[in-house]
Amino acid sequence: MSAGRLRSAAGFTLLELLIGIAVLGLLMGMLFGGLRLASHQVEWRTARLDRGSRVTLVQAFMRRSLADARPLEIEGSRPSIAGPTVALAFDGTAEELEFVGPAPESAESGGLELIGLGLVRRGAAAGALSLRVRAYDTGAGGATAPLRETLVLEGVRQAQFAYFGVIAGETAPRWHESWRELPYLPALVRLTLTLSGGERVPDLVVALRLSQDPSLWHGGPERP
Amino acid sequence: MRGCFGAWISVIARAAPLPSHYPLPPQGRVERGNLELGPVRSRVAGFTLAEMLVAFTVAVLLLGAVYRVFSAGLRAEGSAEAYAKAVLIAQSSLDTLWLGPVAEGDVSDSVGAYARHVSVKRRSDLVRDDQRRPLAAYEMGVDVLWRDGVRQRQVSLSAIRLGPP
Repeated sequence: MSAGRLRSAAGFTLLELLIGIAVLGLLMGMLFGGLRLASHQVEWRTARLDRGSRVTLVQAFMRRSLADARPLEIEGSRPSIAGPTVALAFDGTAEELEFVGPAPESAESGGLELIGLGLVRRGAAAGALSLRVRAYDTGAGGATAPLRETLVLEGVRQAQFAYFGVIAGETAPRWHESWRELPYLPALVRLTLTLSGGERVPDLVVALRLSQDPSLWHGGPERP
Repeated sequence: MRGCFGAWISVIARAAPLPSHYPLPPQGRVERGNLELGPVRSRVAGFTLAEMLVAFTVAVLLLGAVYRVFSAGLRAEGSAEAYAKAVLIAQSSLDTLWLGPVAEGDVSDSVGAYARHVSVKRRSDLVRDDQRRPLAAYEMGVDVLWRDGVRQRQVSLSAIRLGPP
């Protein structure tokens, strides 16, 4: 086997090798760049999907519980000449909401539960939506039952409730920032969530089935 | 080094049909993965630059196909999320229609990137006219539309409500 024959048979010249390595390097660079981009995207999308499905879950839960909120009477704290005032076990402020509704299926206890939802702050831009559930017992006021607290949604910047209905003295229903110690339920409850990234979740609006009969309102139709 | 290099290139190159006039290595016998050192090694036929480039191209095409499948999955996930949001908007809109006196008509507005059409119309075919119990059925419909790439997507919810005629 002559030297010339060997050269033609075996392998690459230096130039070929260099070109080959350069092309390979270029392709590898593109491959790794693409993979890194892809893995970032997967991570980001998974986090988004996770959060999106949690938001859907929370909204579905709130819709079901709130729609069945019960107008249970308790003794109001406001003093009155006529005696103890009557209010409903429904306490709503802009930041928190507490009402009596059917127990979630996960509770396995059945019956009614005192359900509270509000934002637990962890700094200026972060917080978590907290769900507090306690078995509702009219006799003992529910104070003896154990309180179960669950963080249902992380990464919430702002949670704001609003209540649609007529408060004494008004002629037409409108949105209110709070609904406290009133003898009837609001017609609608709205929950506006802003996530940590600044993303606005579609507003949750729930019609309470056992609220005052809307046809009794004065002032005619006025949609929110 | 070239031996192991050639081994994985050959896996890719085998997948690509080569033309029949493609130059065969000068040696008749082709040995790959021969670990023996010395003069025998020089008999292992190497790849030409053209072969390597073809192999690289095929590899890149395959990777491109994989990436396409992957990004299609991501896109599908994005449209699933948009769909879930649209359902939330439609449900909340439908709930507000249970309120107060019935107002027939169509209303269109937009919620973020979504367009919303709300319609309430009387369905006199559903409830018989009865002077003693004046009731009418109303069909409430909510359509939420959005654009997903080039496609227009839509979620529609509807419900029937009884009210005064």
